[in-house]
Order: sequence, then C-alpha cells, then structure tokens
Amino acid sequence: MKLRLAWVLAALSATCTAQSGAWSYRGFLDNSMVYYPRTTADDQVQFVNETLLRVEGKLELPGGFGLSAGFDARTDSDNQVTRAWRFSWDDRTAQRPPFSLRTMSFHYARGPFRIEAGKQILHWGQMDFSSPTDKLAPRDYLNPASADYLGAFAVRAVVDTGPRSLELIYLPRFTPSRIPLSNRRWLILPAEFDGYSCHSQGVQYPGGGQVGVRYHQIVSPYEFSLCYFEGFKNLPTFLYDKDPINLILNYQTLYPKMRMVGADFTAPWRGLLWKVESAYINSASPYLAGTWTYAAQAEKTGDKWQWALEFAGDKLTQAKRPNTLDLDRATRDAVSGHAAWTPTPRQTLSAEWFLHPDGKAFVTRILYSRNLHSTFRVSGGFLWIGGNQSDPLARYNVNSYLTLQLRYSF
Amino acid sequence: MTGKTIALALSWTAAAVAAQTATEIMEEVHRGAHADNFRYEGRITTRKANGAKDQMSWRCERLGEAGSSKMMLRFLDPADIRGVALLVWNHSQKPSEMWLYTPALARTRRIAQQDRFARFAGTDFSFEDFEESDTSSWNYSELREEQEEGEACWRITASRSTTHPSQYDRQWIWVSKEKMTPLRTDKFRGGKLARRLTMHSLELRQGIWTPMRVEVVDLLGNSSTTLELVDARYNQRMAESQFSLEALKGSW
Repeated sequence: MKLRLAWVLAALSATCTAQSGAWSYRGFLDNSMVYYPRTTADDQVQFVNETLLRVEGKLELPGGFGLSAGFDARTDSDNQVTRAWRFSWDDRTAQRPPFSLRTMSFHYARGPFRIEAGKQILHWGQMDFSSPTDKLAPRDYLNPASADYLGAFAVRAVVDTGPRSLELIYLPRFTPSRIPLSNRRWLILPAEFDGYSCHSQGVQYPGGGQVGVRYHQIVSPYEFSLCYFEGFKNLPTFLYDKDPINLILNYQTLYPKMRMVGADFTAPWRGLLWKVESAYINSASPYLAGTWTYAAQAEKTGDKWQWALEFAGDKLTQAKRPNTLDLDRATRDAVSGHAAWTPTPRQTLSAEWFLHPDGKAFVTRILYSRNLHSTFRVSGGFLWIGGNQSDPLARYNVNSYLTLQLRYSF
Repeated sequence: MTGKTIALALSWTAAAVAAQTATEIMEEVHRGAHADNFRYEGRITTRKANGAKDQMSWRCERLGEAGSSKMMLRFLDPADIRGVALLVWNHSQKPSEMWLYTPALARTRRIAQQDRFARFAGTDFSFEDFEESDTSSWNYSELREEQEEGEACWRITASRSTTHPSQYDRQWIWVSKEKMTPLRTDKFRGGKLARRLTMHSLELRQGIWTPMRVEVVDLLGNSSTTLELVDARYNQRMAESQFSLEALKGSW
C-alpha cells in the first residue's frame, strides 16, 4: 500500500512540476441514460443513469522517460458501481469501483527501443469487432453492448525499427474481464438452465505470470504479424453441477490456462482494405476446448462515410470436459459490421450490426451523434436485439434499449 | 520531309525542352525547400457552404526529404479528438503509407491507398494532400509564364505518373520565379477542378520560403479550410524513432 501511495505521489508531484509542452491531458465527463422498455425475471430496473469522469495525463521527461496515468470516477443509479467510498488500484471487483486507476505506467524510450511498466491498456489484433488474437486485454462486460478495456499490470518491451517491430509482454498478475452481475439483466443463461437458482461455489483466480510475443512487419502495401501468448483466458469458464430435482445450479468460476498462436494480415485488394486474422488455442486444462478461430474483414473509407464488414467463426479442435459453460461462445460464427455517415464534421449517424449467419439472432445499434459545441456532444439512439429464442443471443432481446448520452470533453 | 512534318517535329522538340525545363524548375523548388526536418503547430478553420465554422489545431512534424519523408500529425484541439494522430511514410517511386490512431479506441487503422481521396478529419484536406512526393512521382510539362498574386510565376502542368497512384489526374502549379516556391496549386479530378491550394504570407524562415497561411478550397463541395502555421521551425532535434507505429500509439 505504501509503495502504491509513493507511486501515485511521485506521479502527481512530477505532474505538478511539469512545464507546458511536456505535459498533456485529456478527459471527459459523460452522462448516459438508458431506458429498457422490458423488465426481466431477475431485473425490474428499466431506467439506468450512469456518470463517468475520466481524466488521462501524460508527462514526457528528459532523457526519454515518461509517465502516463488515467483515473476514473463514476456512479450509477443501478448499483453496478460500488457505493462504498473506496479507490481501486486493480479494478478486479465484481462491481465497478467508484474511483479507480485506469492506467498508470512509466516508460523509457531510446531509439527504436521502448519499455513500459505499470497498469496499461493492452490490445492485439486488427479487427473492429472480434479479434481472435486479442487475448491479453481484459474488458468490462457489465453491459456487453458497450464493453470498455480494463487496464492490466504488465511490463511491455518493444523494438520498433519502422517496418519491423518485436513486442514482448509480461503480465505478472492476472486481471479478469468483468462479467455481468448475476442479479442483473445482462446475465442470461442458456434455455436449459431456465428455472434454476444459481449458487456460486467460489472463484479460482489463477496465479503466475502471463507472457506474450508479437512480431509485426510492413511490406508495403501489406502488413502482417505473428503472435504467441501463454496465459489465462480472461473471460471465465463456469464448471457447473445441475440438481434437476431441486432446480439448483452450483457453479465454480475458472480461468483456464491457455496457449495461443496467432497471425494477422492486411492487404488492399479490389478497392477495399482486407484483413484476416486467426488464432489457434489449446490448453492442458480439461475445462477449455481447443479452438481454431478466424475472422476476415473488408473495410472502406469514403469522403463522408466509412464501413466495415467482418465474418468471425471457429472450429473446435479439442473437446473439453462436459458441464462447462463459456460466455464468449455466443459471439462466434457471426457477421458483424458498422457503417458511419458524417454529413458534416459536427454530426455522425452510425449503425452497427451483429448477425448469426443462419439468421436466428441479430443485434443492431443505431446512434446519432452531434457536437453542440467544440466540447459538448450529444448522442441518441437505440439497441435492438431479436431473433429466434433457440439462439442464446436472441434471449437477450429483453435488453433492447433506448439511450441518450451527453459528453463534455476537456 | 513536308513542312507539316517539320512543324510537328519542331513542336515535339519544343515540348520536350519545355518538359525538361518544367522538371528542372520543380527540382529546384524541392532543393529550395530542403530541410532535415520541419515542425509547426497549425490552427485550422473550416468553413462550410452553409456558413458553419469549425476550428481545430494540430502539431505536425516531418523528417527527411520530400519523396522519402515521414510525417506525424497530432491533434491538439478540440478536446474530443485530442490525441488522434496520422502517420505518413512517403516512398520514392511507390505509394506512401498512412495510419490513423484513435486513442479512444486504442486502435491504429491503416488508410488504404484507394481511400486517400477521403477528407481528413472534416477538413478540406484529403489524406492524399498530406503525401509528399518527389519529382519522379509526377510528369511535369507545359511551362507557361503567368502572374499570381502580383508575382511573376511559372505555371507548370503535372500529370499523374504510373508509379504514383493519385486521385488527381492533373495539377497546375504556379511557382514564383523570384522565390522558387509554389504559390498556388489547382488539382483536377476526372478533368474537373477539385481542389485549390493557395499559399499566403510567405516568410523566409531559416533560408526557406514558408507559407504561414495555406488555404484549401474544395470547389466541388463548396467549402474551404485555412491552415495557419504557428511556431514553424526547421532542422530541430528529431529522431527516426518518433515516426514509428509505436510512437503513433503513444502520440497524444
């Protein structure tokens, strides 16, 4: 604790003594209102208001040293944010903390070499929706329709010579993704569990570090990268035990160890920019299936519009133990896309969609955004989930919503 | 040999000489603008046909010679796009490469060659307008003497070369005879005048004529953008590593 405090004090004192030019910051104050027209069996709340203040700062020091830090302060009307006045360093709680350290890292850069240590946002992959190689980055899925990245404690070393770069990442401590709360509308189990009451038998957080290596090369006009990751799945696998007589579902939350080998490739072809990405995942754990996941994306940018279309799928290569449930399976074998039209720099109309190819389930989000001033932006729209109830994704149709968001950027 | 053939041969020879001279002038323009690197802060004002006005600012750094230079452009304002950055790697004899970094998404996006005609961040600059090509990327011809802003100029026609794909099929460049720097460029797309760049308030900075105000008019979209250069400096301390994809991600 003392070490953490010293770290922050050092960061703040350095910030306060920074002269203009070396110090930069940005942030926003965001208030969003969400109205769900339907209630669910577990959640009767229809109106949710969330407020988030995010401040990020960056300080460049002489000699190639630097510091980055980001802080979040938030509250909501739905108790998804803890009510206790506490500051969270690691952001690993089931509920969101009211005050949290989003990022804080020190870096040193010399020539093509750069090393960054601390809490940072890690991201691999080229796809806009589902990147098969993006396994390092934990995310906040309390509302899966707007999942934000969570910072992870890591040491990251990069040698970037321009056309070639090599990245080594070591994560000494596991950071899980935050999943929907059990008594809230965004946790909906498959139909086979209808009527069961769930009882947690505990969570097994893995110990030990995680490592990742990524090589990236640009061979104009193409780009490719190869990567390897050995660590833990940041979305949980549930090991469950059904009691059909008493309708009780006992479950354990696990984060199985995994190995991933992946690659991505980007190339312009026939007027479009094409991206393909694939990952092969295997595990010694009986609770994680071996999979080969792949995705292909085409995108185009125009004068006032932009669109991208992606297909993502997977093939099982190694069976896992029965009575296990993965939350991320629902998003596989899907066609997703987005399109944005910007008639003037101040306004944007955007659409996002997600469709299972057999047409059994779909998610559509339409959003209109307008800058009221150079610092204020208002957005309004809706999310519509539908389809056949036999598709696990379509069971989320009760969570279709209307939204209105006001953001002040500074 | 008939008189018609002789006339044709003479006109061909004259055109060849003119072409050579136009290329030489452009080479001299490039030599006159030579600097190891260049840095400025830009204040941008866009004006739409309906009178709407937007303002933003960016910091631009460029390293190396035109044709093989690298450029990093980082938005400083307004707040909602602060940190958005564009990285350009120019190559001689082949298309340049561009990436756009959006910090809110922690995402670097490659800008494909075929998408370079798109407007950049709501301004009247297209992505391609940030490319810097050397004299081998365009075919220069048709040298004329004209007046521009009261200055005696060469008007040079530049045609797209096969090695350098461009949205523009032709450009007219007015080069000041005295300063040997461009004062105006008209860019044609599909035979129509699409964009006009005019350079104003030229100052001699560290021996290089530098336009402190650049105006670009989208003649098809009926809008304009003014870029005012602040604190423009040549030959500062700058390293190659500041122009990498890694630097782009940490650029805000």
